Amino acid sequence: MDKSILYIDDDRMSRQVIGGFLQELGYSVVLAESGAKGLQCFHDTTPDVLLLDLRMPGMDGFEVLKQIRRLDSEIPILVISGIGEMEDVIHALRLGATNYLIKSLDDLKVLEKAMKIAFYNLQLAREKKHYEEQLALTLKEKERYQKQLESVFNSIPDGLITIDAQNIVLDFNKAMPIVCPFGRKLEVNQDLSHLDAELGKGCCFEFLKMTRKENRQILNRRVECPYSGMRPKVLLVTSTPLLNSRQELIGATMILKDVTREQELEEQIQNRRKFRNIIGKSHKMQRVYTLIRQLSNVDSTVLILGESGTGKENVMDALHHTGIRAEGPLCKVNCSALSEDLLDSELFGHVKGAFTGAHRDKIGRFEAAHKGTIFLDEVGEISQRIQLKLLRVLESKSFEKVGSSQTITVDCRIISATNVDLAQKVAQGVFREDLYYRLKVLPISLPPLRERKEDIPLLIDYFCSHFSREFQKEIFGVSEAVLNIFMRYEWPGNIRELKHTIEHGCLLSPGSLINIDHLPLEMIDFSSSQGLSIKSKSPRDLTREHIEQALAQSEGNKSKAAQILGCHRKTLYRKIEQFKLPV
Amino acid sequence: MIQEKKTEPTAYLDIEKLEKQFAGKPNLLDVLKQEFASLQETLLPEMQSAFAKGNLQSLKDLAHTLKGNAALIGAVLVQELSQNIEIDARNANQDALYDKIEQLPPSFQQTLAYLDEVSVS
Repeated sequence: MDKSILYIDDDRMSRQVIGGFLQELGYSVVLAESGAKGLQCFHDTTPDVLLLDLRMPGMDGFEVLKQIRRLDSEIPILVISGIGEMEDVIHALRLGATNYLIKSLDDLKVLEKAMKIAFYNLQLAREKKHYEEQLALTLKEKERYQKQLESVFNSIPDGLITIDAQNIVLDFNKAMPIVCPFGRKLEVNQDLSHLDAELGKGCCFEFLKMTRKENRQILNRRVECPYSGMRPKVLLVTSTPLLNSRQELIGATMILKDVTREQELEEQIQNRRKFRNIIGKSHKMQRVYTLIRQLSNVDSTVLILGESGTGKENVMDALHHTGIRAEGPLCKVNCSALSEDLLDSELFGHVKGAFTGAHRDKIGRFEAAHKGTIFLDEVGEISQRIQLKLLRVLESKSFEKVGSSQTITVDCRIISATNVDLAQKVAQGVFREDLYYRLKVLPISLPPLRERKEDIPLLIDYFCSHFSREFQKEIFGVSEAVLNIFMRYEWPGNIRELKHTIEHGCLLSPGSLINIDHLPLEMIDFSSSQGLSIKSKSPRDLTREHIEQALAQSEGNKSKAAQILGCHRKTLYRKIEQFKLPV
Repeated sequence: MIQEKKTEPTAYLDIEKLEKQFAGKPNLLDVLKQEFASLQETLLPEMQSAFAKGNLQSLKDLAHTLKGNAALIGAVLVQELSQNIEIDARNANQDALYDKIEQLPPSFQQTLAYLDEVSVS
C-alpha cells in the first residue's frame, strides 16, 4: 500500500529536508507551500497523513487544521512547531491535531517514529472501521435472520416453547397461549419449577420436563389437555432435547399441535352415519363403508350379497360413483325380470333378423356399459346358457351378439348382486361353480336390518325428511312407542320395509309425529302381539304421548287404555287432566 | 564573546549528530547543505534590510524562519541568535537587536564551514 503524506510548510528548506527525509523513509510525499495550496492538495490527493506547519503567512496552520478536521475527523494530523512555541502546540492539539513535533535535528528521529505510529494508528482505525462495517453488516444480517426466524416462529400455528437446562423459559411463540390453555400463564425467564403445583398430572409440560431431565425425545404423544375446560382439547406433543455443539444438554423444546379437529374428524369417520345414499352408523355398516372405499378404485368383479331390501343397489351405486369409472356409463339389468332369450338379447344385443321380431340391430347392456359399470341384479336367477355366456365375458370380456358371429370386446366392470344363497345353488347344481367363484372375487355382505337395529333411528330421520319433502308435510319423527315397536320388529323386508312403513305413517299422520295408529296394519298387529312398550312404564313416567296412543288404540275407551298402559283408571284420569287432553 | 565560542565546533554545529541522522542519506544531506547555504544569500540580507528599515514585524518572521532552519540542521548558535532576534523584534527592543544582527553573518559563515565538513556515505 502506498503510504501518502501531505506536508504543508511555507519554508522551502523545511519542505526539501523534511519532505526528502520522509521520502527516504519510503513515504509518498506531496508538498504544499501554503495553507491554501495545502487544502487544494488535500482535496486532490486524499493523503493518509497530514504534516502541517503552524506558522505560515496567509492561511496559517490552525486554519488549515480547522478546515480539514471539518472534512475528515479520522486523518492523522501531525503539527510542526518551532522551539519554544508550546502554546501553539496546545492550541493545535485542541483543534484536533493528532501529534506534534518540534522542528529540529533531534526531532527527525521523532518524526520517523511519529509517522510510524500515525500510520499504525491509521491502519488500526481503518481495520476498526472495516470490522465495524463488517460487524454492522453481520448484525444487520443477524437481525434480518432473527426477524425471519421470529416471523416463522410466530407464524407456525403449533405452540412452541424452549426452556434451558435450569427449567427457565427461554421463549415461546404466539400460538403457544392459543394452543395451550396453560400457555397464557407463561412468561419468558420464568422458572417452570415454580409452577409444578399448578401443572397437574397428564399435562403436556410433564413431557417437556421429562425430556430435559432424561435427555430423550418424546414423539407425537396424544394428550387430552386437562385445562381445556368445557371443550376438551386434544394435543399432539413432541418434545426434543436441545444440545450444544458438544452434544451436551442445554435445554428442551416442545411443540404442541392442536389435533382436536382431526380427532373429531377421525371419530366422525369412524362413526360415519352415512356413505352416499347408504344410511347407518353401526359397526357392520362401517365395515361395508370401508369395503366400498377399498373396492371403488379397483376393476375386480364385486358380488353384493344381502337379503331383499338391504340396499344392494345403493352399494353398487356407491361403488360406481366413487370409483374410477364414475364418468362412464352405469347399466343395470334385473336378471330375474326377463326370460332367458330376452335376457340374452338384453345383455349381449342382437342383429337384425336374429329372431322373429328382431327388426333392427340392438346394442346389448354389456356393450353399452363399455368404459363403465354393468350391474347384474338377481344374478342367481340366470339360466345355465346365460351363465355360460356370462362366464366367457368375465374371463375374456368378449361375446357375440345374438345372431352374429362377430366377437365384441368390452371394457366394463361387473358388479352383481343376489339375495339367494349361491353356494347352495352351486351345491344343487343349478349354478355354475366356476361362475360363482368368478363373481364372488370381492364379496360385500350387507347385514339385514334386524342385525343393525341401532341404525333404525337414523333411517327413521332420513325417511321422515325424505317423505316430508315428497308429501310437503312436516313429519319430525315417530313416537316413542312406535320407535319401541320398530326396535322390536324383525324387519323381514329390511330397509325397504321400513321405508314403506315410514311412507305409510307420513301419509296417515295429520301432525308432526307418526303414532302407532299411523302404522300399517301388520305392524299394529305385531305391536299388539308383543304388548305395547309403554305398558312397562311406571305411572310417573307416562307422557302425554303415551296416554294419547293408548286412547287411540282403545278408541277412547279409558278402561282399555288404562289396561294398555298398565295403570289404574284413576291414574289415567289424573293424567288426562294433567295434560288437558280432550276426552 | 562569539569569537571565543568559535573554538568549540559543537557550539555551532553538532557534526556527529548530523552525520548520525543523515547516515545513508547523502543526497538529502547535500540538499540540506545547499538549502542552508542559500539562506546566506536570501534570508540574511532580507533580515538586515528589514532591520535597517525598522520593519520589526518582517524581521521577526524572517528570524522565525531562520530559527527553524537552523534547528533543523542543529546549528545551535544561529538558532539561538535568530530566536533572540525574533523575541527582540517582537518586543521592539531595537538596541538589543543591533549586536545580534551584527553577530549573525559570521556565526552563519562559521556554521557553514563546519557544515562543509559533514559527510555521510
